[in-house]
Amino acid sequence: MLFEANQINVQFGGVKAVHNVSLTLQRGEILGLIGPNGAGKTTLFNALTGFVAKTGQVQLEGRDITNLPPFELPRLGVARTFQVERPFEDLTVLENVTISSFLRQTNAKAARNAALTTLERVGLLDRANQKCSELNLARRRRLEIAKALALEPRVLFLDEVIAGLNPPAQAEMIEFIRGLAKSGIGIVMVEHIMKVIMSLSDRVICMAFGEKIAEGTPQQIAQDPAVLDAYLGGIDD
Amino acid sequence: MSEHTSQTRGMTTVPPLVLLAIVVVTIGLYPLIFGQFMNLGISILLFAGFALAWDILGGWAGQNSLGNAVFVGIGAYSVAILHQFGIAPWWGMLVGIGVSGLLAWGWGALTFRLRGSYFTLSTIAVAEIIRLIALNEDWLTSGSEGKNLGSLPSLFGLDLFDRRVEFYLVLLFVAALLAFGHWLKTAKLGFYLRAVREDEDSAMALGINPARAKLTAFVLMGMFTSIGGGLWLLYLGRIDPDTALVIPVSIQIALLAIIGGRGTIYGPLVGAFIIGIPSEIFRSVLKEANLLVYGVLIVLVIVYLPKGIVGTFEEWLYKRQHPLEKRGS
Repeated sequence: MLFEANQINVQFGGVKAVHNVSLTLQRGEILGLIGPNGAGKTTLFNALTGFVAKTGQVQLEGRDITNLPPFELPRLGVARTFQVERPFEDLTVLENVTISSFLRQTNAKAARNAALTTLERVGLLDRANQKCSELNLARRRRLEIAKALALEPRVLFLDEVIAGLNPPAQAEMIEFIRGLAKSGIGIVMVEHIMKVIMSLSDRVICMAFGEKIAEGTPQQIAQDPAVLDAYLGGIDD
Repeated sequence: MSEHTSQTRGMTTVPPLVLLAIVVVTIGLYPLIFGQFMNLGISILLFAGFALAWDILGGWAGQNSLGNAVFVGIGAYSVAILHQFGIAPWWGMLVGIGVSGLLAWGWGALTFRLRGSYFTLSTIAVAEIIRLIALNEDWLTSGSEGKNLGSLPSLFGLDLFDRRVEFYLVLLFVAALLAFGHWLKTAKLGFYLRAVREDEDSAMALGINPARAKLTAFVLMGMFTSIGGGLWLLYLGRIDPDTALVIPVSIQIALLAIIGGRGTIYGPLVGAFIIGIPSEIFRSVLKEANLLVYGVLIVLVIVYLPKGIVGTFEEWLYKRQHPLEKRGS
């Protein structure tokens, strides 16, 4: 097993934001995470990547990583993107990705070259010397992914990288994510667009009110009464 | 791809070493031209050095210290106190570097786990504590009287009380800081510090330990500033708490860097010259009113050039090299 989380709980004051959620992930697998707004998907991401306190157990290839601070995880091979892209606005595209490259590269030249290679991979090479604040949404998303990829992860958490893009950009991103999985990276992705998650995921987990209410193949999830109830039961915004 | 190469070709950048050499040689001509204004030159250059050191933490890592007088004081007092026991100033400086580094390490380890302005507040508090210690622990610091330097040993046959010797020693200090700035610009530490400055959560997601990055910058800042403190003592010939350890010294150091442009390598140097020269002139012409002019100048820069002088210039240069139609979005 590449990545495994058992009985994850996150509590904010008296509110149980995530309640007893478990998940597993294999190499090259895409695990979709869906659920209405406020279901706890992003909180689960933050818990699994060390950004919020949790109880339960998280393992990476059998190694316990539950209590590691967030900055220790990239070195071990766990990377994430943020739902609202957070590039370092004042730096150029190349500088942003170079920061990530330094995790695996020791000298400045190697880090720069690795960053250029990553930019080429996500199709941002022609923007290398531009400041991030000038990029449009689609390119900011690709930059966010480039920053995570330059860490050379084995597990990648993608938090809504497709929603908001126009249809051609969506199609490109879907193909790109599929390619990442083919290269062996295990991917957990939160996405709101049902069509996307259903076509891209090998497996889907549906959350509502902080709990896992269903898990299965996209076909099983699409017909699951609990899922339909969660989405149509009036708690969506 | 072709666009990328054409963009890089369009960049007109001077190689760092060439730029550094030009700047240092130009400043090095000062004693030959303005030989009668050596005191002005040394103070400006020395404060440029303090501001450059401040910028390692303040500009690159975005943590504002308003207590750098502490490290100035430690540097100066270490040399002065050890001098009494016949220990040469360069050994005193080494001790100052060590003490400053240790203090910064302990101080940063305590405060950098907190975010936001707590660190800045702590710098004011620690600076005040150190000032009171220097004022009250007579056995160590001679209290408010301060310490005098008597004679000084010669350094490779050079007279350390010669203003020209002092000027070039301070220039060496500034050149080392500028070279360090150029190194930071491409080094892992520099990238990590900028990441922490921009967004600590994002930085952590990229494997950066923000507390450790800030601590490294803080220790380096303290050690560099301490060297400047030792040089200041050589220049003044004496040191007391009211000269070295007061808040205005700390504030001036920060302002020179902010006005010149933080995180820009040359900003603090430019700030020191642009603020230093007029403020000296105003001081001799306007007496007390010079502070008013000084204040107005600072307000103007902060309102109209929020990125500082060099920062604004670099932004202009960037826009010129990346015209909008080519930049797209």
